[in-house]
Amino acid sequence: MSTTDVRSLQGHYAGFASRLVAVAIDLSIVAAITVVVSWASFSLLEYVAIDIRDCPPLDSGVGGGALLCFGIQWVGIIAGGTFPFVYTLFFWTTTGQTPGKAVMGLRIVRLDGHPMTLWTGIVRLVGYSISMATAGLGFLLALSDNRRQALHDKIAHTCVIYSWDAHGDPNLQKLFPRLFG
Amino acid sequence: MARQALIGLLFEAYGAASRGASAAGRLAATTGRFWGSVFDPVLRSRVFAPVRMPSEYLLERGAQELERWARVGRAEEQRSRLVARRIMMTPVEDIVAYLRTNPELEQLVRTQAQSLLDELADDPRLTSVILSQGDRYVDHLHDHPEAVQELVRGQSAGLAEEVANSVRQRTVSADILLERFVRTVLRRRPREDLPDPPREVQDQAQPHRTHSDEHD
Repeated sequence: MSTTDVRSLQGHYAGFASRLVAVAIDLSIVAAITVVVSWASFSLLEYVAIDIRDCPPLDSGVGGGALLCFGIQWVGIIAGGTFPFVYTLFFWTTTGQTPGKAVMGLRIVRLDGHPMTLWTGIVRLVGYSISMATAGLGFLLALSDNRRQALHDKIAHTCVIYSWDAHGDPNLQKLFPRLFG
Repeated sequence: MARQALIGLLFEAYGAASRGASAAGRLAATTGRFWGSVFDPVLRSRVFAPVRMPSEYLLERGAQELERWARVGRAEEQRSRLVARRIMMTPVEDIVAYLRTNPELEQLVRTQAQSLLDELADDPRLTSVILSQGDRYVDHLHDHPEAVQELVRGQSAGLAEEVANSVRQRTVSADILLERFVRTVLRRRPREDLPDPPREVQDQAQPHRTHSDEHD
């Protein structure tokens, strides 16, 4: 596949910029959902006179109220902490594309051509954490790899492909023919 | 009355003179052709040769002079036309410029236009036409909400798809550019080709397409 072709790149390996924009969209969605749900939860708890930002100590004699407050606090922390992973894993394993990837017309597939499974998703998620742990170097691997695979793709034996009738912006390519030529 | 009669007489006299001159010219030409055919053998004989040479020279000079007068006439005619046009157009342009910048005329036009608009605004017939048309549109929209919803949905979806495609196209170009940049920084040879993914991977780009479809 020539990088300068105007023919459709559908089914070909997706590049770093497209994937980065997809991740940014997903992060925005996760952040928006988190903010809305948090605000709704706080409002509801305030309505029933529970302020989880200022729970009374367990030995304060409030008893059940303090325990409930702490319980809700921990549920909130766990839900908030795991939500991004659940969101990602759910979409990876059901459709092979998170909403951000769907917007950008990308799909995650296994290298053997089979659809994503829960196990592959979990392995990819672990790999994702490793890519982040390497100060993002794991993600940058997609820039030089022949299959445009990042570190987590290598670990999970997956790749990201264009699921739309992909082609570059003809105006940009006309504007900078030497860069694309 | 006398002035008009005099003008009429002048035009009539000019017409009569023109007609007379024309008739005289025709008569002279006919006579000339007749006497020419009679005297031509004599005049072209050797006896008249000494006389013929100077006369031909004079005729040639006369023709040249006539040609020069005609040239002068043509030039003068064109110059006169230009002068006449300038004389005619300058006042017209002045008048148009004056009218264009005349505040009183502008005020007059404005007043007339405003009074016409006021008249139309107060006209019950026009109001009733507009209202009836508006009612018909509202009734139509009320009776066919699905058409309006479809239209709005189609417009929104079309716009969203257009925006998404535009962003996707630019990021595909950015994919290529970023890779070129990184390879330049890493001092690696620019990559002309990416390997095509295996067929089974490419098939996953279209989720509804399966291997069995290919065999059909």
